[in-house]
Amino acid sequence: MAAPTLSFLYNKSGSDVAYGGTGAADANFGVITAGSDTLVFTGGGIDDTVLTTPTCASGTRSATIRPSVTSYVIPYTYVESTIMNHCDLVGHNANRYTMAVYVNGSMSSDLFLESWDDNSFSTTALPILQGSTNSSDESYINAIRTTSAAPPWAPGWDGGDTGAAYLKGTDDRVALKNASSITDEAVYYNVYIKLETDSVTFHNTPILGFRYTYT
Amino acid sequence: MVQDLKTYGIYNTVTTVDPYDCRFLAGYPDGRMIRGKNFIDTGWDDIPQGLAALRYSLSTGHIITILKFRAYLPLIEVSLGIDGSKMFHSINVKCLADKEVLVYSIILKQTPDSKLKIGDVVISKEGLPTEFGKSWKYTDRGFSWR
Repeated sequence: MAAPTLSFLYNKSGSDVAYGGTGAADANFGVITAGSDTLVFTGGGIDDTVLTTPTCASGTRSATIRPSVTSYVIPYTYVESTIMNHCDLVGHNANRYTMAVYVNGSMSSDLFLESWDDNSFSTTALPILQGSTNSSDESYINAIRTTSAAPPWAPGWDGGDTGAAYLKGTDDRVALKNASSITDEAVYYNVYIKLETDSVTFHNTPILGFRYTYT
Repeated sequence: MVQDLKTYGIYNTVTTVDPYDCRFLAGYPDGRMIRGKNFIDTGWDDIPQGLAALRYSLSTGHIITILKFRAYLPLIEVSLGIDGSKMFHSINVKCLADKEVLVYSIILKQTPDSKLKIGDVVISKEGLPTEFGKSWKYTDRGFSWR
């Protein structure tokens, strides 16, 4: 069969409901245009007032201040295109339908969410992926499968939970359906970045990638 | 024309095959040979059962012959980045033996530091599958490449 087509989607409505389309935007989900849109984690800095919602101007950033007392979750997630669209359901919470991938066609494996240094999909040397002593050398990027259930919240999920990972290459990744095949359906995940007090100062642009097989 | 592609990442450069110029070659006992289309739309599911030999032709000029087994299921392993990037990692040919499945993983990309180069084959074992879908293609022993 031909390679399946993937559509990357984000919840833009603030309503924690499932995606109802087949790859295009619907009432609750917008499309992340591959190759031009960017997923931006920002805020927790001295310029947070510029981070307006539901949108703000493209290029707006508020660099996160490294925490001095305890770990800190970068508070705002946007999808940046010609403007920045706030994803207020995404993050360290129990929301289920926050980010989605619609699979148009069939794949002969699960769909694995991974993070790499760049689009060569070959190294994971960036500080955000290497982590630090306080993160037990785990990546700072926490992601969890929410296709079949909402993430746990007591007191909150992290990459160590069932169906979750501290994203780093193929060693630490999330199987988005936990099945051996996917056909014509949407799968879901939630994601956040947590900085540690011993984090180095960085501006990293890792990529999120989706790995699968087909015949 | 032998051809490979370069992907220039921020930190790494990767050499890959040209997926539009890679295909399977399926031989049949009557001498027919069916050529796959490419690695985007392979055409694998459309070929008849009873193939007698299987080869892969890569854009880099590599020809990989798979030993004869009872059946084959080739799976192309690919990554799609949210940034629009696409990377073909390998084609994993599952080969049904009597009591197990051998997986021939043909490497489709390499970096300067890679131990495995394009065209290398890594063989691993799996247990027998619980079910066989239509993408499994059974062989007819008795054919060989001439």
